[in-house]
Amino acid sequence: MERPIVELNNVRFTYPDGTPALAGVDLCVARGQTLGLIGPNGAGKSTLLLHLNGILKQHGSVRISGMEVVDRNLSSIRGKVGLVFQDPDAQLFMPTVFDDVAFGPVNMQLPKVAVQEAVVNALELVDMLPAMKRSSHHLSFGEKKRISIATVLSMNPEILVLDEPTSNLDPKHRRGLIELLKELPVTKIIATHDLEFVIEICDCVAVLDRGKIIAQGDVVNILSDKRLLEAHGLEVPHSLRKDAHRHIPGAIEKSLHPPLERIQ
Amino acid sequence: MRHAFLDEYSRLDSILHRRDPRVKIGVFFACILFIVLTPPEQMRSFFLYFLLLSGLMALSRIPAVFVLRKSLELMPIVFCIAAFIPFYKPGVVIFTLNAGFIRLPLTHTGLMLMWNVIVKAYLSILCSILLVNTADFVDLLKGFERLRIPRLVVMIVSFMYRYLFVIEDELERMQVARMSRSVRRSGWGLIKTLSNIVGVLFIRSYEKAEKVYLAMCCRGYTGPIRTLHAWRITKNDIYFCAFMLIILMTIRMSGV
Repeated sequence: MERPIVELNNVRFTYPDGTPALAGVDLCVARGQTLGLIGPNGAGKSTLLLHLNGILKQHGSVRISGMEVVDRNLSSIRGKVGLVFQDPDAQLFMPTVFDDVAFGPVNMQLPKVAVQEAVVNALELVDMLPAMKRSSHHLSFGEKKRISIATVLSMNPEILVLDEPTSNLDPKHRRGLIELLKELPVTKIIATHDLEFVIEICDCVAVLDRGKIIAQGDVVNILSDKRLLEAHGLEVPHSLRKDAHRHIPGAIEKSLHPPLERIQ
Repeated sequence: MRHAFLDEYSRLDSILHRRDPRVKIGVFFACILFIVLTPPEQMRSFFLYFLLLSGLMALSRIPAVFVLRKSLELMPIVFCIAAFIPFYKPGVVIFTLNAGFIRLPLTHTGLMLMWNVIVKAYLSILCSILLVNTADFVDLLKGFERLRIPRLVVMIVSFMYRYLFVIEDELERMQVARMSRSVRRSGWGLIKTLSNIVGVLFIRSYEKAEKVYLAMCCRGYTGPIRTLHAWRITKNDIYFCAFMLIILMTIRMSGV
């Protein structure tokens, strides 16, 4: 069997103020897989993502395609792992969209023509090519979110790491994002609260709570396990509920009001 | 969200707007140098400089009212500095101001110097307004970078340009949240909440800065900021530069 592209071994992290964020995380992701990382607020999802490219590091080991994440490997690791933050205002820091999308490739010291090509391709993928010359603060939230993704697509990463990609997106752009992510052939790790989104695009899912991986496995198996999910601040998504049909308004009325004849 | 612009008219199209930002920076810097180095007695030269700048303004199609308003907004600062000059410059006393126990002599040399400072400041302000509004702010930053202004300084200004409005929006949201939860609060209570807001705003911008730095690291930032440029100085740029320098020199010489 091929070696997993992401291997985390007993990763632990405590914030400077003493808050424990990760309490020994073990996680493996196979090449080409799409992993959904779910868990309640404050479970440590974002902290875990920041370990994948060596932004945070305390105890334990992280390996990306067999390469240990240590200081001397950081530049090649950051070229392999494309991390998109939840807040697009943090992700987009350059004066124009072009400069922002070009920031990664230029830092990777690609030749000028290759940089331009990468920027155009990435912006085309997220359907934002016309905004190339604009300034980020004049864009709408959805536009900023899509350009945030383009800023790492331009680096052609092997692993795409997204933190809450669908938060605050309208249904149309959420749909667009789903189509885009389905088409990208790279390994993806996505932290989200949007469980319907996980059902649509993920191959497997990991539940994180209080800094530990509680369960990892098949999407449908885990997301229909009511007891597991409710114990960790989650709920079975609507489309997987066995009693889904009872939630149709007509059905509720019927069960609440038994036929009149029977009462008489 | 409001779409705020620092450089409202920089997206117009005119002979001046089409010039290379580096050439524009150089030319307007030369203008300011010529203006500052002209002796105060040469009233005619100052008038000619003013005519030249007005001509450029007409060419750039920036509304005169806008330039006038912007330039007058900056003048109070100049007045604050200039107002004291006539009193401490030694020379022929014209008039003595009696303010209680302090006697302030007003001198002729002092008055000339004050006039000189005000005129030169006003003309320089006109130059900078023309520069900022005939080039995209982003292009100007890149122009400065290409002209070997330290990268760090350019980066600080460019982050300011990017995040000024983000922080302003944040402040506005907090103001709205404050107003929707406070009923007719004024005086000491208001000052207390406002100072809290300032504190929170500071912490939030600090945290945002930290996140931005992390986002930069994620995309391979290790120290120097690298960007792509695709500019070429054209024949027209050189003509513009030569034309402006000849006019500036003629004005300077004519006064002698």
